[in-house]
Amino acid sequence: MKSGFRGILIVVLVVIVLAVFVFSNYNGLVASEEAVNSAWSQVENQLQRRMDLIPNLVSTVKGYAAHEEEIFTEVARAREKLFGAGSLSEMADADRELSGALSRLIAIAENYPQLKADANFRQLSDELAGTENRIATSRMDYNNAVQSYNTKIRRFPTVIIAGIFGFEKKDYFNAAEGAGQVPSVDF
Amino acid sequence: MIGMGKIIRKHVKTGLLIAAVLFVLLANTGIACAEPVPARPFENIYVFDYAGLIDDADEQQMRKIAELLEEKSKAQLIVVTINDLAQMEIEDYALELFRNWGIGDKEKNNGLLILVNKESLLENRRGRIRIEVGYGLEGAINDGKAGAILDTYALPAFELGEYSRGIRDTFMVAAAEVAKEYGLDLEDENFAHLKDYPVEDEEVSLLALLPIIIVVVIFLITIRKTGGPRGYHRGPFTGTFFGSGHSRGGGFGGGSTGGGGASR
Repeated sequence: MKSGFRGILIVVLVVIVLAVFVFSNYNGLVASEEAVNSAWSQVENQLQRRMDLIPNLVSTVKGYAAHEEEIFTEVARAREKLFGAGSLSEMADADRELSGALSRLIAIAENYPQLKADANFRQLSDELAGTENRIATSRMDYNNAVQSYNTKIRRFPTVIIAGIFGFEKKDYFNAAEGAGQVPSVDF
Repeated sequence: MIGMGKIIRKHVKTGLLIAAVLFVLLANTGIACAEPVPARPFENIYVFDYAGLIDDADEQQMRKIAELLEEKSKAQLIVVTINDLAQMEIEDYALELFRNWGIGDKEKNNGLLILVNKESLLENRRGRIRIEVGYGLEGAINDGKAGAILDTYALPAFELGEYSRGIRDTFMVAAAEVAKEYGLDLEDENFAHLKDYPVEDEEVSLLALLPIIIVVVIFLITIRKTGGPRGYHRGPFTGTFFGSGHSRGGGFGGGSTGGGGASR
């Protein structure tokens, strides 16, 4: 009789411990996944911010250097590519291309002293440089969040909970090297 | 034989203890090595002239204004001069320092860092100076304005070799903008001389900047809602280690930045 009671007590205790274990791990995973999502929304915000800057920038440069058509097409093409990107790695590649195209667009100011001196252009290129820097920052934050999340779902014992509730590995937002370069003109 | 077993067991215990201690030490040095920026000072004295570029009088003046601003608005304006960038880009260096120190209020993220790099300054090339603006002050000083401040106040003085004046003037204009943002009265005798530093009017029309403003607003709303980058992105130093967030007089607030600002 006594030993039966003790048996039940042990079972109850084990169940409680297990439940606490599952809950805390599950909640930790949810928090970690949310951190990844929120970091991603920052990346998207900053990418959008750059998209919004492009028309102004292009039209300002066109005002002084209308015949540099090659670079304008290049920017437009990279912009379209980013819009149409499906996967994260496609997006990262398109992002790098657009960064490169925009930095070349800014750099042609070296050949047009009037453009370089234009207050509007300077302001826009500061906005662009700032936005590129924000993109780099938010990308780094996102990748750090993904790293901590991915580590968590592979680590014991959370790996069990992740398996049961279907938490999946997330992709990094990585382009090839040189992606984070800030386009800059030394004024 | 029993004695042997005891001794071995004892040694295993000591070994484990040593391993644990080593592990903790190594883990800590690992973090320390990854941070080339100066360690977070325990006391916030607003002007940290590590490279010795600033005159005493200018230093006092900036410190006074910074103190007043923090008192009235919780905004933290910090000036740091360094000898070199430790092979980093000035943008990355500023970001790292800003976040490690936790400049600005934790909730408002209203910090501003003026970082001056002596090496580039003397060689007169890019990477001389950066204004890094926390999320909460991006409305007061957007990237374009940050660039204009540097063009108008920092670079001309730097060209003449008057580094201290360039830094002071840059600081004063930024302070004036922040004071304006918080509706602090420039007629107040404490702030009166900030009026000597007008910022050029925006040449870009507000309409052209509308999309940027909208994105910034959405951005600010999302971080407020999710509590995203504030709580999450700060390095291991802020928050947990130093217990920021508790208001401690004379310390840093634990604010963060998303990389806004401008460099020259």
